[in-house]
Amino acid sequence: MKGLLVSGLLSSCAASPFVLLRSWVTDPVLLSRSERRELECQRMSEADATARFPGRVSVTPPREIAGATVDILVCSPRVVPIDDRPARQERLLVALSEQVSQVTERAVELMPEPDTRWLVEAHDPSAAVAVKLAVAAKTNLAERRRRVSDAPPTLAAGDVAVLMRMPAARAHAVACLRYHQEGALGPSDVLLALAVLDERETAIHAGLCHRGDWRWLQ
Amino acid sequence: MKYAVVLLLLSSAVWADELQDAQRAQVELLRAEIASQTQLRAFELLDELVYGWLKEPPFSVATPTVLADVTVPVGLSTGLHAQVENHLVALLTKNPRVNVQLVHCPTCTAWVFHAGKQGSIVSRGFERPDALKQAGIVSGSRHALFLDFEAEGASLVLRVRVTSLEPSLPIVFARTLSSATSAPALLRSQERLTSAEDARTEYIDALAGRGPVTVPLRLGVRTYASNPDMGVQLTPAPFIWLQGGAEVAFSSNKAWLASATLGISWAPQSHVGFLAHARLLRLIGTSSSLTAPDVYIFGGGSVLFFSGSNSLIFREGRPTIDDVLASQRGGTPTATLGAITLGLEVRMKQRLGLSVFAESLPYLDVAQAIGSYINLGIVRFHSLGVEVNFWF
Repeated sequence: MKGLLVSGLLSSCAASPFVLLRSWVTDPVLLSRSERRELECQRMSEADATARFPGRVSVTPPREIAGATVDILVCSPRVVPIDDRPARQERLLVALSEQVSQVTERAVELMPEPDTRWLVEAHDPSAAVAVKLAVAAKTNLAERRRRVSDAPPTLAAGDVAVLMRMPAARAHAVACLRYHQEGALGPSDVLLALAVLDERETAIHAGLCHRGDWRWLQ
Repeated sequence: MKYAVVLLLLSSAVWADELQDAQRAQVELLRAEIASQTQLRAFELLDELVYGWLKEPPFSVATPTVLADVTVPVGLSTGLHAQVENHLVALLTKNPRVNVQLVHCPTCTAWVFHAGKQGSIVSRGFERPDALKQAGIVSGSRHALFLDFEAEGASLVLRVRVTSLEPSLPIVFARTLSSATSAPALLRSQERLTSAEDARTEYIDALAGRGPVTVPLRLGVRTYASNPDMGVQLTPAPFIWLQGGAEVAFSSNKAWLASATLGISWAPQSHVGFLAHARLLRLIGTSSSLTAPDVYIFGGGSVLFFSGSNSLIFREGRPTIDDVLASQRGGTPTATLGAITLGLEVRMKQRLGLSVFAESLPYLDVAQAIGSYINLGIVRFHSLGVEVNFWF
């Protein structure tokens, strides 16, 4: 590896001119551990780095390469600094696309019928994160060319009051049955529920509700 | 001793406050930097979305659409919401071919209370389109557009969905776009949206300039120092020059340049002059800037030829009244000079520049009418000049 190119700061030079004074190609050992934690890095060839960051990468003379491959580590700072969000939320959101994609792939494998209408609900101690989970799942399912509805299934207030007193793991199965009995979910409807069952965990659990039957996916 | 301890504690408390202020300022600076970076990336994702819609419109005809919701990354509250809305509205207004016609529907995004057979439900307007229709707020075909931005490590991810405002709320369009972490964010022209690859090519072309060869046009003035040792003070008139030629960059970062120009100077009944000039320029810095002026130092040489009465001052010795009268009677005096030039040039993106320079004309050491502005002993600079430069 030849050097470290801090791309995010580079691209913001129009908005924050002071960064022009910094040296862009630096040795990684010059960064502190906390500075390195804020970076996400990607290795690329010297030719690619030169094309994408013209004028920022000094080209190695051919005699110094001598048959070896010179590559550049391009690092970008995180959009939201690592300590700006609670650690659990950060862990969930940093791999949101990947985790949700895995869930929807598995769900679509189990319910491959094209006329199935998909509904999505998500539960998380943080309402903002729950919305993010639901949006990611709905978008991903729609991109997989599934019929997806933006309407969440609803239950009566009495049902909700009972469900809230039940353990989370059991509440989903009961809610699924009630959705079916109340007609909130039709025979061709499938509800994909994403949930973080414990405030301390960072894994997403998922389950499918179809015709009153609840099935955990993960 | 007690007072000293109190003083020490007070001073340390003040120091702690100062430190906190400095830290706060640093955090604010960092937040501003991140916000501007996030804003650029968000705009780039919106550009990419609308560019995709230009290629493949989501609707076959212009369709009224409500911008139902814009959500920004969790933990980032920077006014991004309003900036995203403004940018999207500008893009859709300037690109009507996408057939997404934004309409105003405050009730669609407001919290509404709806009492029906299923019970009383409090929800956002767009979640209960049947209730909106019953209230006569929404009529005809309408759609709701949702934009969700989330920060996933160093990537900003945009999830877009368009929902038809009918009771079952089907999603009719969905797309996920992610900002590339391996390239700087770009801004594209809203009127002429291009693909990210084309925009990057344009950016690199702009950075590299217009190619290695350009045509400079220079309008300049050269003044010559008068000689205070001469008995009668004779102040040479300034000479105005127009020059044109070619300039070559030796590398794409335009650190080294060379130019050659031919020039002409003319004053009615006084002189006509010709000039051939070559110069070598070196950028102060490593590469030319797109946003800031570039400063070059340069050195070069010229050959100047003058014909007319103004050329008398360049002659050896002191011009006399007989020389002036002889030139009026038809005997045209001429002078040919060689000059060495040193100067400084400030230019904006190879388009407009200003040069100041000093010239040493060794031959003028014997011309008594001309003095020197700068005398370094070995070399004397007899002339000072300024030029406005244009590049084509």
